[in-house]
Amino acid sequence: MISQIIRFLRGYVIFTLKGKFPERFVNLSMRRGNPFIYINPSEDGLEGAMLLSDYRHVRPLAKKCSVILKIKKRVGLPFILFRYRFRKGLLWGLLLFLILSILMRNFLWSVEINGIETLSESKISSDLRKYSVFVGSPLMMLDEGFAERKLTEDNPDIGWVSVNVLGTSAQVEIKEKVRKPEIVDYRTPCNIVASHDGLILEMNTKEGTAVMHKGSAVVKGQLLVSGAMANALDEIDYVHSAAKVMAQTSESKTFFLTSQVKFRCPVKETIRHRGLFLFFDFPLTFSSADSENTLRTQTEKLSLNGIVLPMGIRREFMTQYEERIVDIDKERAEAILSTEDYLYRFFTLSHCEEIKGKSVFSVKEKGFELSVDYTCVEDIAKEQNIIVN
Amino acid sequence: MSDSKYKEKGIVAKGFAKNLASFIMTEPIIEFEGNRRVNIEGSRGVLHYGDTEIKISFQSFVAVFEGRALRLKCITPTSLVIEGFLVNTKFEF
Repeated sequence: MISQIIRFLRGYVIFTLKGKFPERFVNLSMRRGNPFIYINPSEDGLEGAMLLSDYRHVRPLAKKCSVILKIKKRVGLPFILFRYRFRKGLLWGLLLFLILSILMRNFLWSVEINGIETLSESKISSDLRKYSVFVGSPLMMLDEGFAERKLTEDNPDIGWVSVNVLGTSAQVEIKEKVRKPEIVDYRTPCNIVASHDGLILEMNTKEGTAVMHKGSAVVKGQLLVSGAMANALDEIDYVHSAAKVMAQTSESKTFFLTSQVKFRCPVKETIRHRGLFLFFDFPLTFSSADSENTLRTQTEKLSLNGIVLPMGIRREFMTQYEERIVDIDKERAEAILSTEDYLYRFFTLSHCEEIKGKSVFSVKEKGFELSVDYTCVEDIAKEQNIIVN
Repeated sequence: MSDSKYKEKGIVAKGFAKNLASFIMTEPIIEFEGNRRVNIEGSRGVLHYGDTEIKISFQSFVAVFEGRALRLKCITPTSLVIEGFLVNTKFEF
């Protein structure tokens, strides 16, 4: 493979040997130190290949050996260059390419941010831009240590950051801070009160003196478990009460939907392309956009063998919206309100262990109404601090 | 020292080298790898090169290799390799 590349770069010729003494030509060439790449017998002579530099030396031997040399094929870079010798543009292009390659090495081609879990990537990118870590930034202006320090100062949620510049690409490794877990204070004395009105179904007191019992009806804020406990010496000790009080609670909720709904509907999506080169961007396709449109962008960078190049394409998806008014009929309204009821149960009443609902759908003057009475089983225990004077 | 003396010394050195070479390699080495390949050392040149017959000159004889699809490979002034389907080998004096 390497020898083939060297042959191509040096150039070689495939030729035929015809005449009286082709074997003598072979012997003389070898003695002069001009080896053949290959030499094979052909119909009326020999056919061989030789490097261009060697072929120039053996040409005078042809007459001596009474043979005629005829070139069949010229292969290699010297012949290609010779063919394009009058095309100055190619030379200038090559020069420009070399100059650009040398110049481009001094700029940052890509910035990759890794390790983000909860932080905003766009915020980190904009912060990095302030400290010269952005695509197109001159490498000589880049101070990794300074950028790391400033980024940590600006973002208190960052525990550790490292900016690694490898050639023309920067990798920003971020490790977010581990959040401190919420510590429950078991020492501060407290009572347990009811968080909702309800009927106690089950009461499990771990600490404190139970005031209410199974079957008691309680109102919101009523004392359930007292933090004051009498010890063996008949003195009052104040403890941190802990209890699980399962109670049946009830709640009413009304969902309303107008008979005419006004909403913004997506009607048309236009895609616009922009070319990216280092820190320049230029339009590839043209299309108008209203201020009412929403814009979503998607950037794709060209990469070669894992190296991200400073060129790529950005697609801009512009969605056009139109305001529409829709009349809602009874069936559709019932379905929409049922969905709202389901979502309310799923998100707002998610803490309840058991939910039962009784719903009444009615048609009103301006729209539709769904009234739901929920009966839930939930833990109504709520801690309340005791203030001891 | 005059030029003639240098010339004389050069001729003596050349003669010594020639004798030494002939002393080390008195006879050519012809090595057969089955009937598909022949490695030759100590040749003096190619006398005839054809698809079916190759004649190689040595110091005191000529070797004739007959066969089919014969090819010369790795040719140097004193050694070469013949590849192909060899049928017959003759030595002519």
